[in-house]
Amino acid sequence: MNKYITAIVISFALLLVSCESNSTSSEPTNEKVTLSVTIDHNFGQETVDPEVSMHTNSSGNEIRFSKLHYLMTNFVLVNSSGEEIVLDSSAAYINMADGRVSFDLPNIPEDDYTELRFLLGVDSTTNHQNPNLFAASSPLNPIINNLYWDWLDGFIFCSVEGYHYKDGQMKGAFAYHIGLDENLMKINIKNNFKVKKGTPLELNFDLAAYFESPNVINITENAPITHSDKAADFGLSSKLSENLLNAFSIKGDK
Amino acid sequence: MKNQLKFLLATLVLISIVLTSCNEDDTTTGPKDEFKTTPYTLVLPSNLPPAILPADNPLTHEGIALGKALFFEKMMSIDGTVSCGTCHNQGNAFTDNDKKFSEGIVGKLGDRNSMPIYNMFYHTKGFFWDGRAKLLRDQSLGPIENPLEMGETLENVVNKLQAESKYRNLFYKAFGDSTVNSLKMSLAMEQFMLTFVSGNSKFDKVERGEATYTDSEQRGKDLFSTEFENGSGVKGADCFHCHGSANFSNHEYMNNGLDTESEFTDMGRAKFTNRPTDNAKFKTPSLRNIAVTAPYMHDGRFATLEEVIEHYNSGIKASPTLDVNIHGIKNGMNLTNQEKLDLIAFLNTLTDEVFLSNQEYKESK
Repeated sequence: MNKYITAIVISFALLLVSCESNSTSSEPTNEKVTLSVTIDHNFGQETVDPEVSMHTNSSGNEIRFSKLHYLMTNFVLVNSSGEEIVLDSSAAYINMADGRVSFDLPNIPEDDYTELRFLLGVDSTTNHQNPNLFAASSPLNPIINNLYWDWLDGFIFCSVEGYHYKDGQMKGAFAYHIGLDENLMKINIKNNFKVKKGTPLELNFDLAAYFESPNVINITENAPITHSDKAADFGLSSKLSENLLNAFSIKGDK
Repeated sequence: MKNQLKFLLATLVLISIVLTSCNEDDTTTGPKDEFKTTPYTLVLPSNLPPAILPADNPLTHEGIALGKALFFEKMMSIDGTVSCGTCHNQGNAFTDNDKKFSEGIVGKLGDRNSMPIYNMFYHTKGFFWDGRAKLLRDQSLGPIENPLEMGETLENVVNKLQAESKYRNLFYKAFGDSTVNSLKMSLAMEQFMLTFVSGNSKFDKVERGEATYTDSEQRGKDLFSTEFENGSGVKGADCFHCHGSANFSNHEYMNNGLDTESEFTDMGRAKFTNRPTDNAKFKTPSLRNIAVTAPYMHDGRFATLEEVIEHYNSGIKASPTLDVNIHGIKNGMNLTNQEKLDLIAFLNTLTDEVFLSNQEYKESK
């Protein structure tokens, strides 16, 4: 009789654990949650409305942005004890004009954090792997992001496009495409933030900083298009990738 | 011994309960157990990125068979004269036999050039020249109720199909229920069209190391994928910005400089979004099989590839929505005659005879 009871108990124990594939282990550490990250695209204090709003940079270029899209990978969160939460294969594709401005980072322990790091672009190994091997739904699938260019044998990390005006008259267009391993941008944002269930993390991408921090870019004094070839663009891509290091912030800082 | 057997039996029964307890998604059990579909595995050539398939409409042999019957069904039109296949001919990569505009019922002419159908699983930003349909299934029903195309109502089509035992049977096999409705029709047609794969052109074979380009084709490819005014002195025709990716399209909506603002007659994407910033923007078509899909552009204004290349070489017209990357070539590219020939030689390598003659896409007799 005892054996029956044992069998029943074991089986029910199995039954209880067999459906738990989605829950996390019950270690005494903090609960792990899915962190939703949202990015706002602004020009200083002004909201950017793709293809519509006009913004004037410090060089006096009046700019209407048509496109801003980029890849973010290898996220790292540093908590207040200095421990790094490394999200190895994490990746996100952001497209401002399409309204694709949010993504999820799963399995983040609820905690107080002091730093967020990520790559703007992809590491060299990922950059040169066969692009057809990314999963269909992966942000790195070239069909999803339109940022893989065969001639470059790699990804464009960040693409900013738009039109520029002087005194309301259209002067032309610009297309700044930053790629190549040497331009990979390691973004490091230091600011306190909490990870808590149901609370999104809000980031800001400042397009004013993109044109002036620290390198002041005057659109009319540069080639209208760069594909990151330093010899051809007289250093424009290097300046822009330096500026991009200062374009991201966690909302509420500064 | 007897007790041990009973113990074993009890354990087995309980374990089997455990094993079945998580099968919430299994809908094939129960009263419909004689209804069973056979999954269809879409196989792509190794040089193509993975297909982005709809999770809520898994491909099945039965669904595809129904979709194929519907694709070639003339009852879809009010007078029984027009099927999807009438204006989407396989030999022309499912465009309409060199026609500028397609003929619908009683000879009525449409107002946009018939678009090709292949590799539809890469179109993540909507369908048709103006992106009017979010999903392929939505696009599949559009022509039925268009007065210039099939001029019929969905309700009438459903009734006509419901009256045929052939269709009751096909709907049952595909969906486990012989009731015809427009949602099931659209899902089946979506499935059929998702099986159209083009990835065996000479270009693909070169990518896979199975063929080599002629000198002219190679020069054309280099021009195709090199930017204009790149600072290095190497000549480029700057095609790849919009016609990049393994499907030769970014699948977006753009103004490629066909008209000045005062010449805009078809507002394109803006007709659908009502945004002036979308004026005269049209879907970037894939260039696969481009040699067999003449004429070109949303209104079929260019009869030949030579005319298309001349447009980009010397005919760009500026307007407020002209794409940023086209701005770079608006003053002309000064391509030589040889360079134009080379570009066309490369474009001709995109013709996929395997796709154009694939028996699987032909009407079942």
